[in-house]
Amino acid sequence: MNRKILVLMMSLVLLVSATACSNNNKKTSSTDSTKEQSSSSVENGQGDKKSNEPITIKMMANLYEAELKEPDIAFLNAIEEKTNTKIEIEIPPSSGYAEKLQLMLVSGEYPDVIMFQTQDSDSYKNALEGEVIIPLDEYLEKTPNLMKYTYDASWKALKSNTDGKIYGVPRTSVTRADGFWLRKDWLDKIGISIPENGEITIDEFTEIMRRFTTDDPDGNGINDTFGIGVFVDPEKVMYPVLTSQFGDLGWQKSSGEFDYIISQYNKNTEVYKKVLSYTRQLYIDGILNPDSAVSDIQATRENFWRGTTGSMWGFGGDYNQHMEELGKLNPDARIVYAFVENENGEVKGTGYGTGMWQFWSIAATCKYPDRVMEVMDYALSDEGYDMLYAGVEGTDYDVVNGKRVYRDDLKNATFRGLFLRRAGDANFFIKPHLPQEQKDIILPILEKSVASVVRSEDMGYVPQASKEPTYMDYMATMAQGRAKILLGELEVDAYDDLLEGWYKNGGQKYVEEMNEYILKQK
Amino acid sequence: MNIKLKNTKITKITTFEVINYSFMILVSIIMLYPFVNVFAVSLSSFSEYIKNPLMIIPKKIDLIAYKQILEHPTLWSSYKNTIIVSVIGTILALILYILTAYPLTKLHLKGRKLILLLVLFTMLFDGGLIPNYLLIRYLGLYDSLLALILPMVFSAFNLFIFINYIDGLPSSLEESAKIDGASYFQILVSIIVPLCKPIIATITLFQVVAYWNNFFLSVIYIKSVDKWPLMLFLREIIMGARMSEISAAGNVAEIAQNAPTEILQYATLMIVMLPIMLVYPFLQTYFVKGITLGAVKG
Amino acid sequence: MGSSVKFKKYFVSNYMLYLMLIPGVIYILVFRYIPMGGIIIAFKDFKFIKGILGSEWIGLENFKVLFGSRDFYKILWNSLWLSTLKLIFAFPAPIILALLLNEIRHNSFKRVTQTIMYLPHFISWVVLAGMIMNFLSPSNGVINTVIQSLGGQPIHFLIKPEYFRTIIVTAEIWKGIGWGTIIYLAAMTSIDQCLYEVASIEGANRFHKMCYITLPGISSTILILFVINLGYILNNGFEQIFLLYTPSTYEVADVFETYTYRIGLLSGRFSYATAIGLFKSVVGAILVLSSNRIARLFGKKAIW
Repeated sequence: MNRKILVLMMSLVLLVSATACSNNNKKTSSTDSTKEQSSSSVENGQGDKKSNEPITIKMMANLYEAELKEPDIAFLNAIEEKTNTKIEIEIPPSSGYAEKLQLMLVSGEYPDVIMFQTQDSDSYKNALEGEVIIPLDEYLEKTPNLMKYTYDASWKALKSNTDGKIYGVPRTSVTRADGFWLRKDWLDKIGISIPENGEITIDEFTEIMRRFTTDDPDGNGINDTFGIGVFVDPEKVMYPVLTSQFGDLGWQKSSGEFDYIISQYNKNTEVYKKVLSYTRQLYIDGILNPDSAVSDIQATRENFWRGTTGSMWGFGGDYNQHMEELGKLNPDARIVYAFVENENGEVKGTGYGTGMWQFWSIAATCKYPDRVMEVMDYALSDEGYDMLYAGVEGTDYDVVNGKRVYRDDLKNATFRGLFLRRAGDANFFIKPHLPQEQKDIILPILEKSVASVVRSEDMGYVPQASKEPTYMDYMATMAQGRAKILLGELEVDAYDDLLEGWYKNGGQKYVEEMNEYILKQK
Repeated sequence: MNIKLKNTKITKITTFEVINYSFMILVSIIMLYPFVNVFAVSLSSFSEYIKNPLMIIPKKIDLIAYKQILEHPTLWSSYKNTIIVSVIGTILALILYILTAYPLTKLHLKGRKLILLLVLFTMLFDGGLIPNYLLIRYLGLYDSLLALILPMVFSAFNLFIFINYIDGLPSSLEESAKIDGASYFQILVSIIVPLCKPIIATITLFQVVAYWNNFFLSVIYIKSVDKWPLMLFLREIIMGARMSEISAAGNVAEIAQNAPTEILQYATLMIVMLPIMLVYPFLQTYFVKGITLGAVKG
Repeated sequence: MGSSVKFKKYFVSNYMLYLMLIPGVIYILVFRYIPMGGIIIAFKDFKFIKGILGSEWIGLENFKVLFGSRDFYKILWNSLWLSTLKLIFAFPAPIILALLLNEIRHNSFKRVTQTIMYLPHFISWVVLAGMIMNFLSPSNGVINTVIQSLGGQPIHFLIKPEYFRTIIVTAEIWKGIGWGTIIYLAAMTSIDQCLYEVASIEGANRFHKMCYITLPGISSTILILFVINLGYILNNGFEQIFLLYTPSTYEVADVFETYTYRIGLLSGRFSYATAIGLFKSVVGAILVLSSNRIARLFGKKAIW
């Protein structure tokens, strides 16, 4: 019975889609216009062979803003002129980018350049499998800038799901390990100062947060402050306050059962339990703002600006924004940045595995992959990168007496910020128009954040085992358990049982596959 | 009859009425709160919002957010698109509902149950994202406003409501018209439709609001920014601040730097929602008129 | 011969009704039934590149995994329980409100309250959820301030499983009650006013009229909405739950929508997500069809 209905439906599908197709040719203006578009790009391409007409490159990217503003347009114009191209960018709504990628693959019509979110994403794997995108190895030989200014880890990560070839150009993300912003005026009030090098021990940090909570640092006579606020991760589990300080540095060499292990899954050390119990204690003692358990990053920043919390884990480049927002409510507010040392007195933090945040792939239907690569290589050349970072003369700045004077009404350059970056360039995070004294505050912080990175060995690889239904089910249980431990509803030792359950529900395979992958890279 | 009611109403105020009126006022305050809060925040400066996110009176009035939104190039084109889609879609939908609902109230009609079953199943079963997308592409509707109109032009729910209302109408008028030799179509147009004003008003409201509120169709069927509807515009501004789900913590920090503030989000919400909020008071007339209609009928 | 004459007669008198049905039927065939073929994705290992027809058949594999999943029964239970609470509390709420609104005699007062009550429908869940979080915040939320001023300890409502369902149902009522009244108010307009007059003459009070005239007058609307709601019993809405749940409330908060989001979409298991959707639809269809039949046994008409 069921089968009959299915057969019936399917024949109906075929029938109507066939008639729809034939109708399609007769009228429907919109398909015609898309056809025109594609044929015009073909014409452009043919024209290129004869004369020196620019070729058209169509890109699809997730840029968080649907319309490019003047700085981006000026930048694109400059690049187009340099590389004799015409760049068209399709920017789907950022809240639906993943769907758009999937549908693009279904439709069979591809832009020349496609931005994928991660090397593990389903869309990317499908594109690889269907040979929608091409290997770039031969082109990379001719793009010295791309090779020079990209982390090795990113290339490795890009090879992790492929036949050993590289199918994308990483949008490098300068890897950092951030520290904490603290209220300087509150510190003054409770009589604690941060040493010149900005490093404090775990105990000092705890003491500061405790006094921020109890000593009425805002002087309003009400006990309404908290030491720190954190926010939740993509699984909605609260981020622990300190992690790397207890030795949690991602996937690292181990002498135990496995060659490589992450402390979270390590049955033989107490590292992860220390991480959990530290934050748990802060929560129970009322030092950690209880809102943290449900806050997103924006709410956490707002709590900091409101003066509810005295510190937050944060990005060094946020200095001006914090000062501006804090200043509006409290002109006396000052902030200072601090790194918390680990138990051995070192500053170390985990950088997210691959140094790559999204990447660009080239579709097999693209006529001029070499030219696309040229454009990208140019963007990281000295000349191109200067424009990428500082903008274009006449739009972002004017040259007065041989010096650049940045315009006051600078607009956000989303595309420039998200196109490509040079690996390890801390300076990238400092907006060029900032006054020198602010740059002097921010740069050392960022340099230290970049320098203190310890790279996790996983290269962002996600083992296949994680896609098993039992494993995925268990991850929800795990997240629930972790959240309950952090919020004091369960004892820290409950983690042992959780971990044991994890190994039983596919975790064993997960770790094995990860080890296999890491060893293959060595 | 109305006049009679008016004369008696002052004389008798029962305890029930006191309680009822007070209850209504209380409920109204609770219901008004989110709107007032959004409105107050949208007019205030960001620092005032941070100080007290639950404010109901705007403080340190700052129109910068409205200025920013009103100057946004996408706003006006998306306004235009949403109005086109809502108006055309609603008109088409009403025609479709009226034509479909009326025959389905005729119990003697052969095949009626089958069609009702077909309609019911559309409410429960859905092919999902991909087949719908492929259909829209095959029909050549991709990246056109029709792709926003057609998929929503018919809802089983609204149809059932319509059928239910027509069912409830007294059949005497229709029967006498039939004896006079009127065709079904004439009956539908000259008798049923005028009697259906309250339900037409209701369905108009449901349909307009459904079009106004929909963003998902535009996420998947629209490519050009100049064809975005308002709701997608709003969503991009509100969700732009909440992208934490998709990226690693370090990237979140970078995105958060440029996230639209609540002021901007709420101002957008006001601008996007105000016109549709004003639709109801206009349509309300038809709900009240229903009463006099009943009196005339009697 | 006789039957063909009968048929001819039937056709002549009714052809116009069929003509009216044509646009609607064509519409649902094209825009609903053709895409419905995509349900076969649930029985395939769907790959975007290969397309719907090109992907490999895997039979009932997805359903085996679903029914064998440790979390399936928890999620089924959570979904059912939450929907039941909504049917008990959120479903009658607009009916009661509409009845009370109907008793208001000042037309302008009635209009203003009605307009106000439907406003929350237009505030997105994201914004409402933000407000709810602020209200319930243990550090500076209004409710906890009240609790504290009464000498209690602040309660972190959002991370306690025991409060989750109350929060969701209350939020749904807040957002939907005013909007929900519209349909009942429209239905009330079709009640014959003579009935009220006759009742008044016979000495019935307001309460009697409400119970014996207004309520029966809208009962068919209530019934049809109830049946439709039963069809959506496994649907609880994604956004409100996703925004207000946390891992510490998973045990009560995880429903099909959030489960599908985590397992199906975040990890790209498209076929599996489709299979879950199909399961929900089948359950809904069974409930609608059987409740419709039950209604008919009692002599009431729900959908037909």
